[in-house]
Amino acid sequence: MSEIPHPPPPPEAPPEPPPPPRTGRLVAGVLLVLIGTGWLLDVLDVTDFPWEVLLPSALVLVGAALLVTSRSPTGHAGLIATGVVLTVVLMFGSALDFPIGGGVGDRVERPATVGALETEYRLGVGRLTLDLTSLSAAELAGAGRTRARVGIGELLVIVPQGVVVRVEARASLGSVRVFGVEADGFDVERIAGPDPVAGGFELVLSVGLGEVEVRDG
Amino acid sequence: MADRAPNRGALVAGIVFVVAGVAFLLEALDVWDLDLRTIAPAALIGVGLAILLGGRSRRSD
Repeated sequence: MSEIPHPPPPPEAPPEPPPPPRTGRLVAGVLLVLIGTGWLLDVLDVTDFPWEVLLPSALVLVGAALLVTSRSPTGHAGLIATGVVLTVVLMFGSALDFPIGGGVGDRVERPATVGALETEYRLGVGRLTLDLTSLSAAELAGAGRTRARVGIGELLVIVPQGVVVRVEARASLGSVRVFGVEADGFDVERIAGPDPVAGGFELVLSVGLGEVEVRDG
Repeated sequence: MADRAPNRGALVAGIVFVVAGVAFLLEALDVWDLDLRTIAPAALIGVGLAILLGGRSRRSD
């Protein structure tokens, strides 16, 4: 009995290439962990995170990662989704002059000395009152520039009577009232007081959506 | 992988994100003042370019 020749074995299939690195998922995951950690530390008052710089830097990083991996067949969806979320957050923050990471609630700041007067006060959502009536007009005369920003809500600054102050107050959408003179609408601004001089007392105030008021105490 | 054509959508999105990120960074550093009047049309231009270039990419595939 003659043996039937066996057909030659089929060539072995080449080993499957390893899955491409999920660069997008990796970058998106790292960014979310970093942003979440910063947010947590901010909420717990462990540190004051500079969100205004970190979030645009993260967006640049996402864009650069997309450019670097543009020849890769996969891994873009996570990066694009992350970039879109970051862009929307930054556009919202920029359009409304929203201090990202500024916190939520009602806050009253009442510095007792000129040294305790900070250069910037920020609140995300709520009511921020900056009461300067504990300071005299003479003390404030050389206080320099103080900024106060509220994203959504109300910003009230009470200054001592007779103080010489330059005020620049702005609301992206809402109303501005400076020493009784009011304007409201979209992107409204009121400037009052003398031209800025070096070291002179100057208030730069803004609210994204809501009301900003400056009055005598 | 080196000779693979770049994904045009990823390229456009990458360029848009880098440009937007630099713009927001400059604003944060008080080098440039962005306001609503410039953000809205710039966003429309970006979306329009992405749609145009994305459409060209699909036709050429």
